[in-house]
Amino acid sequence: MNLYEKIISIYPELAGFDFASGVITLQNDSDGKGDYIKEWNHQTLPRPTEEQLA
Amino acid sequence: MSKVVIAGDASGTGTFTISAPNGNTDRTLVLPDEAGTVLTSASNIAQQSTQNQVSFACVLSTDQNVSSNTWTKITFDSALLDSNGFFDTTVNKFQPTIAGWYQINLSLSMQGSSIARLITRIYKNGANFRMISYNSGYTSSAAGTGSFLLYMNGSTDYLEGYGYPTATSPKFKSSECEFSGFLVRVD
Repeated sequence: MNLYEKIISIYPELAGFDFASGVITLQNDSDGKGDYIKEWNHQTLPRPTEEQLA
Repeated sequence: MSKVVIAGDASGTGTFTISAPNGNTDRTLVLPDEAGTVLTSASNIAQQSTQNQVSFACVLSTDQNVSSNTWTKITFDSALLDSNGFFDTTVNKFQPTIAGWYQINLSLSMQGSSIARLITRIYKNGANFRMISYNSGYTSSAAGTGSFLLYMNGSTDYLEGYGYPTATSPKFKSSECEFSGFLVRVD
């Protein structure tokens, strides 16, 4: 399960959310560190914790 | 009054002749106020002007599996052309040490299923700089391409290509992706 799928499992209401809008940005710099949350500026949903995403 | 001196060469034996063309109009040739060899019509002017031009073209050597809804750096790891060694294929970025204006081209092609869209962007110095393309309405394959001019400072500035697919099991296609560019004007 990749990061996007983990976030959707934590917040199913984000399934139709536009992750390209700049509010929540997921990124992978192809440096071996994998996908990560670059920006999380959602007005109501808090940024998932590392424990939730583990 | 400045003067014109035609000087011979003590070591040479040939005779050099300055001859008039077949024309009926009076003309004056003005020498440039600089030192150096003056080009003639026999000189390869095109080669002179392009032989040191910065240019690069890099591709993906293998397909790149990526995550949906995630900005992912395209791993351009194979150089078809890299005139000055400014493209680092180990970290997939272009960082010229000659300041000036560059034309940059990016083409990205992907495969997957249920493709909703593909967005491509150029990142400059690690941050989004410009959207190259935004395409939607595909099913199993998609592509985006674009070009623009930008200024590079010749020291710290660097460029990378990023893609953003919304699809199931997306992957960037090795045979159809290219990151290229060339120096337009030193500045």
